[in-house]
Amino acid sequence: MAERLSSRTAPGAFDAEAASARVTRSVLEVPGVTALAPGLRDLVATAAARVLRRGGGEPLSVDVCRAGDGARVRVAAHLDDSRAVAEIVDELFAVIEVDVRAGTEAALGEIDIDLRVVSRGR
Amino acid sequence: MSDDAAWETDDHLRGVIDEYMGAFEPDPAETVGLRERILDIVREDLARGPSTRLSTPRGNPFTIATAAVRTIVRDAVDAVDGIRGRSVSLTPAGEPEGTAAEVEVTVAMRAGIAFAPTAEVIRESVAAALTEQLGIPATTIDITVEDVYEAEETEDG
Amino acid sequence: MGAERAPNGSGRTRFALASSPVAYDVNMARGDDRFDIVTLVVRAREGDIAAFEALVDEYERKLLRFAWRTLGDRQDAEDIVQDTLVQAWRSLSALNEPAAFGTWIYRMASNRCTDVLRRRAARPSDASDPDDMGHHPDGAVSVERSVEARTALDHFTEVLQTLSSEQRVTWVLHQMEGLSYAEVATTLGISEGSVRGRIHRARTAIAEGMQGWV
Repeated sequence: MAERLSSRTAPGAFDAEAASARVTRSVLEVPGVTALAPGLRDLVATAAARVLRRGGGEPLSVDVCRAGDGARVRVAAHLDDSRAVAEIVDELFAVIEVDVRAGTEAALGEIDIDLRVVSRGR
Repeated sequence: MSDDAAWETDDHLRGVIDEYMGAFEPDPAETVGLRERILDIVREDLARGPSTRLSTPRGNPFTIATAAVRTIVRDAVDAVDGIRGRSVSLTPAGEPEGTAAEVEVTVAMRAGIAFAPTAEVIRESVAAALTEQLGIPATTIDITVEDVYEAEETEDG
Repeated sequence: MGAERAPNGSGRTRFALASSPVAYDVNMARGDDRFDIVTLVVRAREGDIAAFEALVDEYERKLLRFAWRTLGDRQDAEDIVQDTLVQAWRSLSALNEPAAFGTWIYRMASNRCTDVLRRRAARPSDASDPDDMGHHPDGAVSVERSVEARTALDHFTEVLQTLSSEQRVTWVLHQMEGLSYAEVATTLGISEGSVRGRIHRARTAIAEGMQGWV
C-alpha cells in the first residue's frame, strides 16, 4: 500500500526521501518541539533486534512515504511546555503540508499526517 | 525487649556492627548512575504507554501520551490552593470524537477547606487548562475527594 | 446557586473518604515534601514520572543500603535496587493499598536478596569473598594474611555469611535498618514469632562467631 520511492525519481515527481529530510529539518525548528522520538514501529524493531539506541544509532527522522496518489507522514515528537500543545500541533500540520509538497510539481493527493506527542517536558 | 537489651549491652559487638553499617553506607553522589538507569527505563516504558486521540479546534487530529494529558489536568488541579491532584482520567468526547473531553479526577484536600466553592475553582482551572493547552472543552469534570490531609509547616497558606 | 454552570464543564462532586484511617507505613515512608505517599503512588501509577522520581529519591538509597548490607556486594545490591524499582513502576497497579508502598518494595527487595543469597549458597564458588568487598583491595595476599592482621570487621563480615539467607535478611532489616519486629513481619509476610525466632538465632550465631573478637 505505502511504498517508499527511491530518490532516483523524475524531476518534479514526488521524492519521499527528500521530503523526509525537509520535513525532519523543519519539524525540529518548530518552537516547542524538543526532539523526535522513535515511532512505535521503531521501538518494537529495536527491542527485537536488541540494539541499544543509546549508543548513538541512526538519527531519527520523520517517516514520509507514498500512499496512493498522496503521501503518508508519521511523526513522533517530544514537546516542552513553552507553548500550547494545540498550537504546536497546528503549526506542525501546516509545516508538514508545505514541506511535503515543496518541489513536487505533479499534483500530490491528500497528505495523511499521523502525529504522536510522546512526551511533554517542563 | 529483653533480647534487645542483652544484645545492646555488648558495646564491642555494637561497635563492630556500627563499623559494618558505616562501611556499607552508599554515598549519595555514587547513586546518581543507578537513579538515571532506573529513570531511563521508566521513560522508555512511558514512550510505549497508552495514548489519547484528540483533535485541535482547526480539526487537526493527533495522539498524545495519556500520561502527558493527565499531567496537564493534574497541574491545573494542583494549582488550586489546598488541593492535591491524585488520579486523572480523560475520555475523548465530542463529535467528531476527540474535540472535547470528559474528565474525572480524585483529589486530596487540606483539612478546613470549604469544598463546594473549591470544587468550582478546580473545574474552572481544569477547563481553562484544557482549552488553553489542548484547545478542547471539557464536557464534564467529576471530582471525588478521597482523602484529607493536615496542613504542613512547609506549605504556604 | 448556579454551581453547575461552570464556564465549560460541569460535573459531579463526591466525597469518598475512607471510613477508618488507612494504615500508613510506619518508619519507612516519610513521604515527599509536597506530597504524601498515597498521592505520589497514585500519580506514579498513572504515568506521572515526577511522582515516580520522588519515590525513587525517597527509597533508592535506603534500599541500596539494605541490599548492600545484606549481600555485602555493591554490584549485586545495585542490580537488586534497579530491578526492584523498575518492577515496582511496572506493577504499581497491582498495589491495592498505595499507603503500603514502602512495605511492598522492601518486600520485593528482601525476596530478591534472599534469592541471591540462596543462589550463592547453592554455588559456593560464587559466594562473595569478604576480601573482595572493598576493605582489602590486595585480595591476592588474603589467603596468607595472618589472623592478627585481620580486623574484627573482616571477621564479622565472614560470620554474617554463615547465617542462613532468611536469618540474614531478617536480622539486617531489624538491626541495621531499624524496623520493629512487627514491621519486619509485615515486610516479609511472616509472623512476628518467626521474626523473633530468626533474629534470636542470628544473634546467637553472631555472638558465638565473634567470640574472642569482641
